[in-house]
Amino acid sequence: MSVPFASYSSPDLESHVFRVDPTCPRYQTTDGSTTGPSPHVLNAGQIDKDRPSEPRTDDNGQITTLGQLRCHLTGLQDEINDFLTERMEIAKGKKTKLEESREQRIETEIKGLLDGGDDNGNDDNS
Amino acid sequence: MVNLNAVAPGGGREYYVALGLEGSANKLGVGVVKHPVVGKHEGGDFSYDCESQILSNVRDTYITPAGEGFLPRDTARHHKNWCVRLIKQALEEAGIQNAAKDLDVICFTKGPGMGAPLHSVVVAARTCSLLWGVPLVGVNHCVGHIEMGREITKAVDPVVLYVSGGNTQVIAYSEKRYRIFGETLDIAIGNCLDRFARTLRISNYPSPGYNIEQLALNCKKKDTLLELPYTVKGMDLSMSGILAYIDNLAKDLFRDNRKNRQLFDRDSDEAKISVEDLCFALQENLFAMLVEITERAMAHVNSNQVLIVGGVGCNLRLQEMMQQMCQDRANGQVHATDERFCIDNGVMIAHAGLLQYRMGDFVKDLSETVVTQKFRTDEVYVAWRE
Amino acid sequence: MSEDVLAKVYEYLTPGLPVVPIAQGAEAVVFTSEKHPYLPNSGKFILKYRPPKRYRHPSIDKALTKHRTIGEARLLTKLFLIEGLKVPKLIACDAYNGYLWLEFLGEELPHGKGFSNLKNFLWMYATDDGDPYCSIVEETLKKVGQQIGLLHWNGYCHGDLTSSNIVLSRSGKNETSWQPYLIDFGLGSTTDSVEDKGVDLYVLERAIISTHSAHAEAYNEWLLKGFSEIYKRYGDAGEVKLKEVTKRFQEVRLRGRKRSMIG
Repeated sequence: MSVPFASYSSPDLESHVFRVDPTCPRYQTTDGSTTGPSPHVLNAGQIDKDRPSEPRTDDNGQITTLGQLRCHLTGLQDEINDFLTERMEIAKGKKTKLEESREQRIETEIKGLLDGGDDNGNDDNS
Repeated sequence: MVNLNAVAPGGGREYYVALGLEGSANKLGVGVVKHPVVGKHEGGDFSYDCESQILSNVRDTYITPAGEGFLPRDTARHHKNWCVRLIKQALEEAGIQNAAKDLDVICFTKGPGMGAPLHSVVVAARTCSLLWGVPLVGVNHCVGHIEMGREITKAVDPVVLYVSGGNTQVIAYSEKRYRIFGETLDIAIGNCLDRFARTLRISNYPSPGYNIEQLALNCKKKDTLLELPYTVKGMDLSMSGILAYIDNLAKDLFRDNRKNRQLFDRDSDEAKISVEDLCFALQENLFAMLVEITERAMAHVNSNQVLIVGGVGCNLRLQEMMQQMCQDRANGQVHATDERFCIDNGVMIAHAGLLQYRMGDFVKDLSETVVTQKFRTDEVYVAWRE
Repeated sequence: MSEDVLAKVYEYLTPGLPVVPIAQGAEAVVFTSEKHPYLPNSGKFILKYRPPKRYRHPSIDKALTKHRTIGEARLLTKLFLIEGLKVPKLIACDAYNGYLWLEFLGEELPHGKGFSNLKNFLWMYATDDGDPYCSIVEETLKKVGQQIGLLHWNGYCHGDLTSSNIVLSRSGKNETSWQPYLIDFGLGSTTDSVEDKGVDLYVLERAIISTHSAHAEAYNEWLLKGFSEIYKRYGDAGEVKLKEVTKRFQEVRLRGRKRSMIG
């Protein structure tokens, strides 16, 4: 099964690619950390009936292919949301500088993309 | 000349079947519609009479606690989490066993609406399309309402009053487009009612508008109407001033602000105006304005038919007022539908999308499926009408 | 036209006064009469009656009918005195019952094209054998623009500008030249607000686009040209005010386009 990925680009950032890391807990759940209900409506007494269902498992207790895809997408969505939130905060001037390690990671990834050229980011992966 | 039978139905069938997905606001709707191949459709404008059969029409509404509106993010989450279940249910009810074979087209709402919810539904539409190899059609939400209304009521060429949470328009067809003759200059009627309901913490179940309608029925002082601004501007109208005015009263009433002498008696301190009175006054005032601009458009285009569509269109008081207006016009007729079709639903998207599909207009490339928050009714080329 | 409404009118009028119903607008029913309501001389007159609207609450209805009838009468009186501005002459007014007597204007267009309001006139020239871009149309629309310019410059707004609310009357014996008259001032107002004027122009532009779609661009351009001419007559002060109004007009238009349409 092919694994989904996402890429983001903007005028000040050539490309940022989000890839699934199956070992990371955020890629093992369908209940994302950034995709829950707004605290605002919960405070107003909302009962959350829109919680996503658990990933389905087969007879051997293995997560089904579709279930796995859902987990991967949930993780990617969280990754993207965190990334974009951080960029927004930077834009607002709340954070002046990206964390060093993160910046480096982004740089290597960009370089990898530019030099490696294994995929040119034209795929429609929305 | 219009030929609705130009594209043959798939699999040698004698009928077309369309799946419609709607999620532009807080309702998620999925519907399946069947159009038989009818000879008369080859040579004439019978787009109001497709002999449509509704095979299924399921809906789930994202409802927030009283006093809260629906945020795009939570609404999108609701749609995302219910979409698959609703599609399955709709197909099952429609008796569609093999979607790849039994569907001619998948129709989705392209806009207008809230961005995030539109997005979550179009993703489902694209997925189904790729999964089953069935083409897509992007539908204008307003055109969906109009075509469904025409099909249900058989109104041939009505002036359309389209009233919902995000829209207030008076529309008539001319030269291949639904032209907007009048509309709100600021907020929509449904938005005005919803915001008023929030101030008074009126329940959002089943909808704030419905609850306002019920409260208004219980108004004890219908003879003495609270005077509100009346702001008709030609065939357009403005509602933000009215909302601001009544919202201030509503706030003071809710907070029990005895200093407001318009609400509370100077001597006895008793409330002179109740929540029911406010609801009644707001409805009477807003609806009188709607009926008036509709009548203006009718006089302007020499029409005697009205069709009311959109969520606010199921308000019986509005329908009654429109009926009274039409009775005083020569051969005046009012057409309206009930909540199954007035309130956002998947069937209307399927029906309008199928009309579009039968004229050969469907998505050739996924890049055409980008949804849009702003999509005016008059941007759509209405190929299926003369 | 509904019988109830007619019955009400005949009951109100002096018995034997000959009136012929000619049109039912949104607000009013319009009759013509060969007899002046109180003078012995004859001619042709308009009786405009705003019947009670059953659909609206009696208190809204009474207030609106009175307000609009009286408002229209007052405005017509004032506007009639403005040089160059063409509106029908007011003859009599009964605000509480919703009646206005006015001078009759206009005529039947040739070949059964209907009454000579701007709408039918434009449609006549937009049919197969007509030329929608001919100089008569251009001239007429510029004159309409001038009328609206005069109205706004003098501190008034119409409130319901459409091609139905502009009547054309032949100027003298000249067959091809038409003089536009503004009618239907029920939503009119005395105002110097730039917003009101911007909305007035926007309402007209939209009415032209929806009613005369195919040629709307040229029509609106000519209307605006005539409109500007009036302001430009007043030198720098006129230019400044013209800029204000057109700027607001564009803002109102943008507001319409930008408004998000959710649900």
